[in-house]
Amino acid sequence: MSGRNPIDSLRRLSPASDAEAAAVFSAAGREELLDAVTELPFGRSRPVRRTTPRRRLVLVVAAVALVGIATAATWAALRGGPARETTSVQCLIDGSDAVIPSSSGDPAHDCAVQFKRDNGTTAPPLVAYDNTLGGVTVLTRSQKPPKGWTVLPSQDVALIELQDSLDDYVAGLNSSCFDAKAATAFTDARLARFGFRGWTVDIRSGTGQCVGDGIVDPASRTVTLIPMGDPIVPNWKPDELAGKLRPLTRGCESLPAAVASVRAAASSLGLSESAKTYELNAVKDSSLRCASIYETVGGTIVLTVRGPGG
Amino acid sequence: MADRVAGRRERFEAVYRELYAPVCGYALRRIRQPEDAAEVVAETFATLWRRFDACPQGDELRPWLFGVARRVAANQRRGERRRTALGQRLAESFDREAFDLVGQPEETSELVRAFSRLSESDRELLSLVAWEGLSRDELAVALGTSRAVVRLRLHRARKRLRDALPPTQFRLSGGHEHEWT
Repeated sequence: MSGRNPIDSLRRLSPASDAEAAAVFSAAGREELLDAVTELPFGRSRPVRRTTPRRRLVLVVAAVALVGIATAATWAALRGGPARETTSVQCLIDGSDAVIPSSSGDPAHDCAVQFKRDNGTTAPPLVAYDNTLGGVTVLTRSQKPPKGWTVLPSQDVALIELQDSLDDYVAGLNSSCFDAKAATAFTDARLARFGFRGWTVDIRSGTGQCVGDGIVDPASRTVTLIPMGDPIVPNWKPDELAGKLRPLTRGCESLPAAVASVRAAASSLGLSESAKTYELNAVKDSSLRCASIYETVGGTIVLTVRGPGG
Repeated sequence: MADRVAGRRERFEAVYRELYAPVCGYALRRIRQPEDAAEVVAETFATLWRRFDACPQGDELRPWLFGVARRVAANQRRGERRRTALGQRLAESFDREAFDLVGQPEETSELVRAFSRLSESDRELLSLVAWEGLSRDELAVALGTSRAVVRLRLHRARKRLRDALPPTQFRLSGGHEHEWT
């Protein structure tokens, strides 16, 4: 090997050629992926809430669709534009590129919280923009935004909370095995609760027994439910935590008290924010009398507590 | 409108067919878990679809897509493992026999050890050159930086790789600089 350029040798160490790698997934899988991707709405970006193998859900599709479908001009005009109706944020800060679920309605704040969580340091001053692709991107104030981007200080909190409440493991669609009829009634109630009137709820055919997700489409004012989940299995940590949190939602606590209760419940199951076995977002909302608690799952457990300040 | 959408789909399909194997290669050369690799492939093409009207075209598209895959894989490492419907769909078409042919390097040489001791960013940079065959200009697109920065980073990464090798392993001086330095 002496005298050989190390790059040439590295080339020989390649574990697989492109063709060998492509063969790892069948031609049918390749075609299915093409069909599935091109069915996604385009020009938007609500990526992916991380989800788990157990729940073979369509969360990403739902998430992308949620962000992606909001194109109706009249609706946009009424509600302040499609980007505002997204429920995720792309955080491009100091070379890192992450997409996170929205929680507070202030995208720059959400990215700052995530930055601190990931890096342990305070984020630099941030500004949120409508990225002209229908999504929201947060940059540092010192970064010049691309042409056409406009400052977007807020997202639709009601839509964020609607999505959280549908995805929720404590009291939402993931809290038990909802059949189509029960899931429709539940979604109707949630739409009413968050002030979305004149919406319809559709059921799409699916392979699972339980409806675990809803695709929220502000453009057509439709929530599409997809039965893709499987019945709850015992001893699954997120379900155990949801069981611990459920009694808390029946009381009426302030935000600080609810956050403390949630942390205690998580700790009792050996879960820890520092070990990143869960993430906690506390959102102050003075319009609420009592704190609400949502648990969603994706890679890690995401807990969102909204409520009045103490 | 329908024609425009159909045209977009047609253009996307052409790109997909051309770049599906390279993206699979990118993912499986770096990620040993087929489900995780499937997630990277699926999310990379979902991103391409969403941004298809705004992403680079022509020669820049391939390196740009590797840049997307790189970020998707990095987010996956940061945020534990993701499982999405798209990725799951691809993962379900997993072929064990074909996967068994995709092995780790058999060579347990000084080079393998030296390479594994490099930082993640050095390894990625050198891998993009050696495995994806990117030129300096293409690296700049994939990494979202300038050619000058790429040149400097490559020079340093290559030096660190050489420094990590026993002196007899490679010609260290007097040779021609490789095209990617």
